[in-house]
Amino acid sequence: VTHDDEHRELARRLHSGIDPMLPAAGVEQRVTAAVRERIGTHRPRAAWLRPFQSTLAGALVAVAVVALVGGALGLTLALRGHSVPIAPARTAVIPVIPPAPPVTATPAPSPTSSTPGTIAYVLPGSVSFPTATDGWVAGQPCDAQGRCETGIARTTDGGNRWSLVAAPVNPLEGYALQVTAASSDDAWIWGTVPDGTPGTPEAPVFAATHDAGRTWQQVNLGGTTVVDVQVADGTAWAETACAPGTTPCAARLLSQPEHGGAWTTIGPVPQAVQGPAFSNGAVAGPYLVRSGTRAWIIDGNEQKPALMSTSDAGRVWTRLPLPCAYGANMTLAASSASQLMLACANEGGWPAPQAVWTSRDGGAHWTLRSRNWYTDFRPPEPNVGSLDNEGAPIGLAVIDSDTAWMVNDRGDDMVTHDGGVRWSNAALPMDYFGGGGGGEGVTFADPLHGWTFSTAGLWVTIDGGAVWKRQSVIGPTGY
Amino acid sequence: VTSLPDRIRAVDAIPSRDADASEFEAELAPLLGEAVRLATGMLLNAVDAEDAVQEACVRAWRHRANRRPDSELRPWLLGIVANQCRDAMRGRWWRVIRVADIADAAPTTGDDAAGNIDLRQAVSRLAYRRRLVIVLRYYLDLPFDDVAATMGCSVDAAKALDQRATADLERALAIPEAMQ
Repeated sequence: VTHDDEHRELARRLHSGIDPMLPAAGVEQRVTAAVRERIGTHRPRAAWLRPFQSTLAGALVAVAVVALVGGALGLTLALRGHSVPIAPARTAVIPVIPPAPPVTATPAPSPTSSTPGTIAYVLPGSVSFPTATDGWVAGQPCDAQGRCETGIARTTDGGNRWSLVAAPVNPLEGYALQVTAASSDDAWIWGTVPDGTPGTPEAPVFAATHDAGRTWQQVNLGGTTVVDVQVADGTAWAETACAPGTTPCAARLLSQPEHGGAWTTIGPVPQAVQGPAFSNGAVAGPYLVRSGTRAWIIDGNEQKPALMSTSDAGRVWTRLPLPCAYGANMTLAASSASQLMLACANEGGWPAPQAVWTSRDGGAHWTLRSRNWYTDFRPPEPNVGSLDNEGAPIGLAVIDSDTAWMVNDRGDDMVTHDGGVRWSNAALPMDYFGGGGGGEGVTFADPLHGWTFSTAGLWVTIDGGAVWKRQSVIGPTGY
Repeated sequence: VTSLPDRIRAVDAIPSRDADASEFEAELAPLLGEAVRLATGMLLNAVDAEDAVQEACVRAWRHRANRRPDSELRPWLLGIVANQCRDAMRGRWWRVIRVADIADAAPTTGDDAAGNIDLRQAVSRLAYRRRLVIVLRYYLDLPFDDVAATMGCSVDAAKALDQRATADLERALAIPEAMQ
């Protein structure tokens, strides 16, 4: 059997297996028609350009005006160096509706099926370490034959020993839940699983435990999907997607004391960060960041990206400026109520054009720290700092005003020790991160104890990232 | 130009004419079949694949000005399709592989039916980048130069990844066969 024979046999099997899954005939025409319609109506236009749009002269005038304004601003930036404070955008105070009655919680049904066999390893899908010792992982426990199911594991010694806890859903292969924890006892999981009826959409799962996973209280949100849970200032906040069948989108925030108690509705998610609903009911890209009494919601909606902040438990939201280039995917993290880091990544070749900005005042003003690959962007932007990243940032963990960690799609994890100006690769094996498709997430419980994970497993550092070691979540490493 | 409103104005100032859209459509048309096959191989679901290609084409249009002058359209577009598939696979709140759907969805009959289900399940278990190299190399039958260009890595890296991915796939395929 030659290499060519093996190639042909694998190609044959792939065609045999995948061809029946191809969309129905005419897919090219359907895609073309849909794209034609969308690109004809999708592009937002600044109001001041509209009078000019119908004539070529108008378009040329618009280009010239933008070039002049851009040139003037560019010159200003050059004179100021690369630390560019941005004036805050207009501030909008958005009132929210009064709190609704408490949300009901009921005990979750017990799981009905057992694990497929002796668990050999766990594929982490979501990791939360509220302290250096207490950690939770939601993912896929698998046996040595690669048979997996949905599961949750917990550690109280920094990850040296893990134990599986009862999951509040039937263990199904291929379905990974997300987890956020406040302590060794208090954790929340959310996600979607099949509702048991073939052909029907997945059913949302949202449950909390306050006794280390022995029991779970499933929260009934009327079919609404939870998209993020964050813990700070003694409470857990849950952000929901749009409620099914509601127009406009009615995503909302709920709150529960971190050690348990009634859920209360904080109010709707501010309109500015409610993106369009996808067919699965999820909102396009918003997520929640909390530190102390401050909270931020960022929405990466390409058409109308927005950043909102509250410092009074969600009663009043203020709109903050966003410095990312138009159309960027954004990642936000906070190390305190005032210290923020924002990573932006755009389409346009690979590696992605990307930039890192920081704020010392909770997002009212931003300073450019590093930027790369925008030199042939339109408008072109010069490189700043040292961000030689082969991937695109999708996650941040900010330790303080100097040190931050970045996890990258199709790239290695990176670290900065000078506030985001210079970035270097983390001491992690390339094969499992950049070469393995990139990381999934990074979290630090304190400046020394951190965890990062990819589809290949979980890595831990106990010395601030000087050394990373693979950490087995049950079973031997090296799967 | 630094603030978001300024950037939006700058992007909108790029002349957009019907001729641009027609030209873009004509450039993309010969690549759509390959894009659909890539998305289907990655997502193993016809509806999701069609959605992903549509979304990728809109992204490509929106960011067409940012394509590097020396880069070819095919790997650039396939890269965006792959990226869109990854977004679909890794969405924070619908990280769903849909193994059950994968097994049930395709109306396969005959001797190969069980083998096809095993194949799809084995592919669905591969990590994203390994799945991508398998689909590009063996399902789209691209040469390593094009695989590397689409994946944004060197040819050597693509070959190394291919070796690991095929080993993973063979291992995954061997499990159900051994159980028969």
